[in-house]
Amino acid sequence: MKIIGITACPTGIAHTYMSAEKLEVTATSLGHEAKFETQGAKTENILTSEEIKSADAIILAVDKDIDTSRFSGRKIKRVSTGRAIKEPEKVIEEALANVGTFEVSADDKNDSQERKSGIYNHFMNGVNYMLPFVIAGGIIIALSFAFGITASDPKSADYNALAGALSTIGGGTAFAMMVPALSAGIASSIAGKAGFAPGIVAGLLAANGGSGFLGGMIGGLLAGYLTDILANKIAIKKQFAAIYQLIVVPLVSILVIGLAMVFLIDKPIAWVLDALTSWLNGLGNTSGLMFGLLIGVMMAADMGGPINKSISTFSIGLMSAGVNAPIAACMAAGMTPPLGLALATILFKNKFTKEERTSGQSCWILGASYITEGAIPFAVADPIRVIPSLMLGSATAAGISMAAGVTSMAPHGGIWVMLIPNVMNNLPMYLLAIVAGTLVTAIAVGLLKKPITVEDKKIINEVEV
Amino acid sequence: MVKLDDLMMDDLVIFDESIRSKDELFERLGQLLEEKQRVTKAKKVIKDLYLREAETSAGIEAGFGIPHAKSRAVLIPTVCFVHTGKMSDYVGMDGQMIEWVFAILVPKKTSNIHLEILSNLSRKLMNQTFRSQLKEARSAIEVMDIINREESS
Repeated sequence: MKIIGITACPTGIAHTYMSAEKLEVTATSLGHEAKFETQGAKTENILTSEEIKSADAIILAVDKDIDTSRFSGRKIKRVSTGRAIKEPEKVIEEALANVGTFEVSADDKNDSQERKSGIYNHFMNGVNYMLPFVIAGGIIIALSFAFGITASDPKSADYNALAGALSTIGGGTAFAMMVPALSAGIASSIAGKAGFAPGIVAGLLAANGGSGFLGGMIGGLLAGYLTDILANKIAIKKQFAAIYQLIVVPLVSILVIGLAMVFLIDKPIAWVLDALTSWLNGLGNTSGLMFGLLIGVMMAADMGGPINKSISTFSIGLMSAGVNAPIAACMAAGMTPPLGLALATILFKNKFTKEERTSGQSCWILGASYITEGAIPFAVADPIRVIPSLMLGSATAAGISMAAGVTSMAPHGGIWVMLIPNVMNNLPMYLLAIVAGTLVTAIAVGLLKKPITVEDKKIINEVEV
Repeated sequence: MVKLDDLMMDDLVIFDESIRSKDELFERLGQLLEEKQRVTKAKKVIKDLYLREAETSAGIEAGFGIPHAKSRAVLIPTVCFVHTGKMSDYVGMDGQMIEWVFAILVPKKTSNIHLEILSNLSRKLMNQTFRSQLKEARSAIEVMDIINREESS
């Protein structure tokens, strides 16, 4: 029999390896083949998909949560590292006899779905690369406004050198790195390290060429797939491999992706963006409320994912045209999902697990800081009920904000930039929008979510043991 | 190449049968490590060892335990071997009171090489012969010999 599995413990020093050793030695002495991946301080002895496919039993000896998606559709035996060390024979026996095993849900088994979630993961990786630039850049820009709204402009009467520096750091540099970081993140998610350079070049070309965020996403994808083929898929004779990876891969990938960006991608996307911008601008003028609702729905749709980022980046783009209301609406709509969930965990205790109620408290801070991602764990746990509730609340907040014509000079920072003078033009109305959105989110979540049943609790407990 | 005996020296081996509880053990370890300037503050390391113990006891089996911690207070990755008396409040998974202890302390940021050595030690402790040799050892030099022999095999 072939027995495989993973061992992991929180510190990743001792139990990970002791349990792997025990299971391997015991399995071998019982006449089985065994291989255990150790997810310790680093991951070693990594299981291949062939090994997973051909395994007769899968044992996870883990004391922390690990990613089990590789085993989708397979039965796995999950135990603590302690039990694996104490009675390895019994654990192996039970795993082979299917005692106490459970099946990893096969949701992602469908091929097209797998592909989709693959691309989505690449995008999310890009967004993670980009996020520090957005957050730090946004807050630093907002800080420069504290000196007066034009204090960063050397030509202005109230010019202040520190404000100028803050503006250069936040707006001129950190924000300028947003799209390049996004593309580099997407490309390295696909192609590994080799994807970083072509990705960042593609992103910079997109940022300077006018195709911006959208161009950066496409450029990152193309750069990633191209480099993946060049660096990882083409077999090169060993004696040339080093020089191939060092010179040929970066040269060809950057040259090809660069030419593609300049001649094929930038122009059409820049044109589409222009058209979209003028359409949304028109919409912004004719019906602030409608635009606000749209912003709210998009902001809450994927909580910091591509849809959310496309509307917020677009609104940041409008700021450069002097249109500062959409970004205020975005910020309000991005704050209410975590805030509303935090409130819901207090108002509707019986609809959340203990863990969710604890993490709900951190959502107060995340929400107040306009970090919409705080809502993701809740949405992942129950997307069909949670995401529409978040959309409803965010649309309320953004709708009120747009209808009242609130503008913000800062693209990010949540409640902390509101404290800085001159940033918001109508703070009371804005706070009202956020409070209303938070209440709507919390109540919608409370009404839609089902109480946690005893059965759910039991499943959770069994997995923990 | 870094080897286990770079992390462990004969002055980090303790034989003291008067140690009869987890408290006394950690206290003693903390003092020794502070003295040898392997940690900044004994108190902090003791606290971190207890934090790890609170998750699950690091007692293994056959009288062995490996309390360990990743801690900001640790200056150099360190392994201590302690032969104690039977500790009534520190038992392994098999219910046996612990008498032989490998204490593993690593700084918050540690190179992979060090962690590899420690993971190797963890694996070796599952080996019966290695364990019984350590049980027989009566001096620091013997302990170091056993470890070096095991390392080169």
